[in-house]
Parts: sequence; structure tokens; C-alpha cells
Amino acid sequence: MQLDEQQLIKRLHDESTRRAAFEEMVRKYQEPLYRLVRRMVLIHEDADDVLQNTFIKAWQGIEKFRGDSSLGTWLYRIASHEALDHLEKNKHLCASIDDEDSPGTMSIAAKLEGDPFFDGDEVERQLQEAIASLPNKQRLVFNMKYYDEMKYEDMSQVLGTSVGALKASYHHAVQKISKFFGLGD
Amino acid sequence: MTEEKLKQYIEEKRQGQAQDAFKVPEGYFDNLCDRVMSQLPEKQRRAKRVTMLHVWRYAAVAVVGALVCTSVFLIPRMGNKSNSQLASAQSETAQETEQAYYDEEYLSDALEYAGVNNNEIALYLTENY
Repeated sequence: MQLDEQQLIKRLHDESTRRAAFEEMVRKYQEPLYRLVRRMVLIHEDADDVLQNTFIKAWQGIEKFRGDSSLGTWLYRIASHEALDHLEKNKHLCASIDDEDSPGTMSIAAKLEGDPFFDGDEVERQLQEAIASLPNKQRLVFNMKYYDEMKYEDMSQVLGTSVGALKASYHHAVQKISKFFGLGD
Repeated sequence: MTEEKLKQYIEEKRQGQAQDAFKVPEGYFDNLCDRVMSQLPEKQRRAKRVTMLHVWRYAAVAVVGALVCTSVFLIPRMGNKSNSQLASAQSETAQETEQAYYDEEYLSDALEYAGVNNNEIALYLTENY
């Protein structure tokens, strides 16, 4: 753990310096956390809500944070839970266009095409469609590894899952997405 | 299919476009922190601690509880006990009354059997007193 982070944690635990330290922490981690959350919930407004909830939860639990993991790991853990919780609550809105049980719901690719804050081409939209079709936890694992290139050991600390299970989960995700694009072994 | 092959395929299809397609409104990260900080309460909720004030409060509650229990359970039982004692006393009085009645009956029968009437008893009492 770096000296800067140790000092930041110390200030977070001191009530007289907590607020200023927390503001510093928000500025430091807002962008990486936003990227993690945005890739999960896809829509900017939803990512904004989830991210604010993440920081509010962090504020409420800051006294319990003992520094066993890094501050970043702790925040990633909260953000991951918040994102998964959001997806679970809104799963009826995320049905695929091919989902016969939910006629009339728009596909992820179609939603992203109309999103002013999405700048990807057709391939990127299709990739997001494929990722969104994964189970939520597998989707989180895929995003962390594929986009953020996070180490399995760090991911294990964030998600509380064994490295072996994460490797297996990522392997399955890659296979499913490859299949989505019509790519065989 | 490995991760590298999938990435290569996506990159080829993407034809050199930027990887992060998710954009944010202009100035979003400049004011996010202020928005978050404005939602935080001025003071954090403190963990509840057991102080002497709490101990006295708990003690007071315990005493009041004990008094209520006493009044609810014990006093009616005491009342029941008094009632039973009263019933017992009443029963004893009835028995004594009954016994006295039988004693008087017995004495009357014995005098009649012995041939002693009320005049002889009165004469006997007059001569001796």
C-alpha cells in the first residue's frame, strides 16, 4: 500500500479531516469506478445513479474500513455490488430483442444506437449486446478482465471469488461471445 | 477461441476506432464530486455506545418491569390466597355451628331419655343456688 493511500486512509478515519479526505478520494476514483459501472449498466444516467450510491455507501461504511484491502479494491467491491443490484432490479428492462417472453422490449444494440453518449460502431454495439447476454456476475468478470485488464488476484479480492472460479468464468464468457460472433474454436 | 483471437477479431472489425465507446456529458467529472459531497450528511451516524446513562435507563426499565410483573401476577395471587383463607374460616364457622347444633340435640335427647324435664332442671338450679 502506497504512503499516499495510507495517509488518505488515516485522514478518512479522523473525523476532523474525514470530509476533505473523502472528497479527495472521490476525485481520485470517480473515473475508473464510472467506467466499471457504465460498462455494466450501459446508460449514462443509470451509471450516474449507481456511482453516487456507491460513494454514499462508502461514506456510510468508512468507519468500518480497516485497510485490510486497498481503498481502490474496497470501492470497486461496493461499486460492483451496486451495479449488480441495479441490474437485478431492472432486469425486466434489459431483455434482448430475441426474447420471446418480452415482446416489444428494445435490444441493447438498438438502445445504444440511440444513446447520445455512446460513440461505438456496429461491432461495438454487437459486442455490448453479446456481453449483456451473459449472466451478470460473468459479465462483470468479463468487463474487468477484457477492458480493465485487471489481475485475477485483484478481481478475487473485489468479488470474493476464487481465482480458479474467475478464470473459468472468464473462459466461458469468451466462448459465449465468440459464439455470438459466429467464431468457432 | 481464446481472448486474444476474440480481441483481434473485434479490433479488425472495428477498423481502428477508439476502444472506449462510452462517453460522458461535458464537465461531468468536474461537478460529480460536488454533487456527491452535497448529498452526504454533515455528521455521520455514530455507533451506539453503552454509557452510564444507558445503564441507569436499563436499570429503571428493569425496576418498572419488575413492579408491573409483581402487580400483575403476585397481587392477584395474594388476593386469591385471602379469599381462600376467608372461605376456610367461613367453613370452620359453619362446622362449629353445625357441631353446636348436634351437641344441643344430643343433650336434649339424653335428658329426655333420662326422664328429666325442664321444671326439674329449674327446681334443681333454684335449690342449689
